[in-house]
Amino acid sequence: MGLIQSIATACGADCDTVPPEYRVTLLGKRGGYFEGIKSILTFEDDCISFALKQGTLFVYGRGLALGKYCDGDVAVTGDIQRVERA
Amino acid sequence: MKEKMLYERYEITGLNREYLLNALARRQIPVYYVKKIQKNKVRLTISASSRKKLFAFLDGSCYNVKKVRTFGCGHPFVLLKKRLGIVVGIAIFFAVVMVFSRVMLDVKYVGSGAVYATEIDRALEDGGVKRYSFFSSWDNKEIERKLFALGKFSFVSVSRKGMRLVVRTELTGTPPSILERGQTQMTAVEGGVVVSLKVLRGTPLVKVGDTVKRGDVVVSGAYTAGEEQKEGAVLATLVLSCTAQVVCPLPSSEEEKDAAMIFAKHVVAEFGEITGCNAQEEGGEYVVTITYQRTQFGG
Repeated sequence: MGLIQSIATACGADCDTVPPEYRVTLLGKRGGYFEGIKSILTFEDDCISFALKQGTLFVYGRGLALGKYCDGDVAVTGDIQRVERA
Repeated sequence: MKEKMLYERYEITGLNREYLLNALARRQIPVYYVKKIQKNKVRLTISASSRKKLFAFLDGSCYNVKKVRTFGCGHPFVLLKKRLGIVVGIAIFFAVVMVFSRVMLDVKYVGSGAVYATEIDRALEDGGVKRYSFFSSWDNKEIERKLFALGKFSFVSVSRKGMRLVVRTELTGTPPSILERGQTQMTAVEGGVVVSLKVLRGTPLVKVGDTVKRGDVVVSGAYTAGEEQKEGAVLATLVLSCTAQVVCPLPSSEEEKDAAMIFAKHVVAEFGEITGCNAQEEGGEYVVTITYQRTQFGG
C-alpha cells in the first residue's frame, strides 16, 4: 500500500472507487504537487491560486513557479509556506 | 530524432498570463518551468512537438513570443542536422586521416649505416616496401632480416613513426682508434691515395691526391722555434682511399657471384667505408676489387 493510499484509508476515503476532488502533496521546501486543478486563477511569485471543481486553493510562499502544468496536475516549485482552501 | 527529446524555452509577453497558461492546458500543451520574470512576461518551456499547437494558439493573439533557447537530449542532433556540411566535412577529414595514417609516405635512414641508403632502398624494395603503400603490406622483421643479410650492419631496426618508416642501421666495423698521445709523427697504416688530411698540430708532408705507401710519414712533428729545430706531438686526421682484393674460387652461377661479392664486402667493411666494388675472373679465380676509405687519427 502506497503512502497516499495509506493516508486516504486513514482519513476514511477510498481512492480506488471514489477519487478525491483534489490532492496536495508537499515536498518540504522544494515545492508541492497539486492534482485536480481546474485552472489557474492567479500566478504571482508569492501566491498562486487554483480553481477547483468546488472552491479555490491558495498557495502562499516565496519564489513560486510552475514546474509543470497539464491534465489538471500542477507542480509548484519554490518555498511553499501555506496552503489554504476557500 | 524524436522531438519529444527536445524542449524549447520561450518568453511570452502579454496581459493575463493566467489565461495563457489555462488556454495552453486546455489545448493539451504541457508547459514546464513557468516563471514570472517581469510584470507582463513569463518564461515557459514546452516540448518541441507542441510547437505547432503553441503558435496556432498564439497566432492572432496579443502575446509577443520570443524563443530563448532549445535544449534536451536531442539538441546536439538537431544542431548537427542544421550543419550537415560541417558534419560531412569532418567525416571526410577523419576518413582521409584514417586511410593516410596507414600509408607509408617516406623512409628515414638513421644511424651510421645511413650511408648505405641506396643498398637499404634496394633491400626494402625486395621486401615489398614502396612509398605510398600500406604499412601492413610488409613485415618489418622480414625487412630487418634482409638488411642483416647485406652483411654491413651490426644493428638493424625497422619501425614505424607516424607515416614514416624509420630504418636504423649501425655499421659493422672497428671504432676509430684512440689517439696515441705524444706521437711525434704520423705514418700511414695502409697504402692508398690521400683523400683528406687535416692537421691540427704538426707539419703535413703529403697533400690531397698523393699516393702513399704503408709506413710513409704523412705528418711530421718537427717545427722551428726561433732558430732552433724542435719536435712535438702531432694531431691530425688522414683519410685514405685504399684498394683491397679478395680472391675467391671461380663461381659457377650468378648467386655464387653475389655471395662472393657480399663476402668480400663483409671482409673489407671492417677497415673502412666501401666506396666501390668490382669483380673479374683472373687466371681461373674470381677477384673482387673493393675500394674503400679508411680514416686514421694520429696524435
